[in-house]
Amino acid sequence: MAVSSRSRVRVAGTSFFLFCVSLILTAYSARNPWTATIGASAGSLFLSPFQSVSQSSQSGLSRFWEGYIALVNVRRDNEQLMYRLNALEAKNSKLVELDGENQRLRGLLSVVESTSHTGIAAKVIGRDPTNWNQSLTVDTGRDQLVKIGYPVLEQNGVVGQVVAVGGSSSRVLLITDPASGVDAIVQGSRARGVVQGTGEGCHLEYVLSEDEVKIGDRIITSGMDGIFPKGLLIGVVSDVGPARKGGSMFQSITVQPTVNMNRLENLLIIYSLKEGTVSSDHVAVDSRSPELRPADGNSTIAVTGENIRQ
Amino acid sequence: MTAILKRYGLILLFCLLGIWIQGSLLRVFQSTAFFGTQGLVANIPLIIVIFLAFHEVSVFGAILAFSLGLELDLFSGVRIGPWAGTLVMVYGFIACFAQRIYVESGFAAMFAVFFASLLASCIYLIYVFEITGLGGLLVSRILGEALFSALIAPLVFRLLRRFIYKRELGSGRMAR
Repeated sequence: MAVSSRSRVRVAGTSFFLFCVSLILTAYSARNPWTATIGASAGSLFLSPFQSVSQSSQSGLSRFWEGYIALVNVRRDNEQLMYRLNALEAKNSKLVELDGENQRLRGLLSVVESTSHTGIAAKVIGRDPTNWNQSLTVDTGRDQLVKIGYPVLEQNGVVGQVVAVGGSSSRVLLITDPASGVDAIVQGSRARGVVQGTGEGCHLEYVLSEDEVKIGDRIITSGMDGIFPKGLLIGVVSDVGPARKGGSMFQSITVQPTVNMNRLENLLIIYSLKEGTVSSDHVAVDSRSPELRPADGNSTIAVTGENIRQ
Repeated sequence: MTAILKRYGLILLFCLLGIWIQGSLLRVFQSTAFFGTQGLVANIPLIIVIFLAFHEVSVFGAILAFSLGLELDLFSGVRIGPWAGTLVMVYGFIACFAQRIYVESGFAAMFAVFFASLLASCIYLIYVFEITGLGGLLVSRILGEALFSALIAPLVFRLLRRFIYKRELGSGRMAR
């Protein structure tokens, strides 16, 4: 744009003139504020539609910004706090679990201590997928010297016996399974019988009619079956029915297992009595060897009478 | 004459739109996102005046600059005159050197607006100092306004070229 010097002078002069006008206006409006008010009012009158639009849009934008977009940081903080809360809750839950596991293991140790048997702690890692069998899977197996027929206990009593052994897992048949049978005696009357599973609970079979059995009697293992050590608690007599019709010589006795089979987590696999004296040495030696100890140090614990006392 | 008046009106409307934008969208965005409740916004009327100083060197351009400043004063509603005087002074100063400065590229526009904004702030400080003193006006505020004005200057320049000086650019009247 070609601009002559004369034009530039005119522009500069006009600008200077207008600058002077603005100075006058400023000075006048400063000394007479009402003029500024009039000017503002006139401006507002002219600009009020735009101002209202501006104000409303500004308010809307402010609400939008502060309510949504500016909340990005809040959302991020919230996410971080939620993440920390979840982590702490998970940690707390883990601690509660560890506390419960600790109590259960202490219970198992007390069992071992009271019976002076050697055993190995095992954790339940699975249950039978069908409704027809009462069995479960534990995380100890042949690698931990577990063999078929070893009795399985919980701190409240007998759970079952090992019926299958894998490398690092075993199958435990519960005493509530119909295929299970445990030679037992009534603790008070010393009446002898066999505890058989019914699928839901247990029955004490083959108790003679003349034997005195009453509700609340404790049923313990007799040790005559060669599987379960003597004196382990199986359950409590919950019902004693009349002698079976037809002049049967046996009573019908219902036994309520002292172990809640639906809430099994930590079990104790007892080495059999016959091998116990031998295997306890093995276990005592093996418990010091690394292969018997799990990587995380808490899933499986080698338990011996020696380290229980420690 | 009709074309000049039409352009005059268009620029006033464009300035009004700029004031509205900087009072709403830019204010909200900058005040909440970067500078807390105080905030800093670009001075769109100033950018328009700088554009005029490069593209409309005439008496009407000076009157336009004065009108835009007055519009800003009226919109602010505090004093009548400070922005009018500031913008017309900036216009006059730049218009004197417009023939020797090329602002075709975006970067050039940014530099021009940045330094012109500093100049405008200095001029405006004279008014404010005369009236209320220097309290509260910091260098960071001056630099911030200059920076934000420079940032959006290429966009404003492009819009003005496209919608207001389209015909003139097409017919070769606008050399720069």
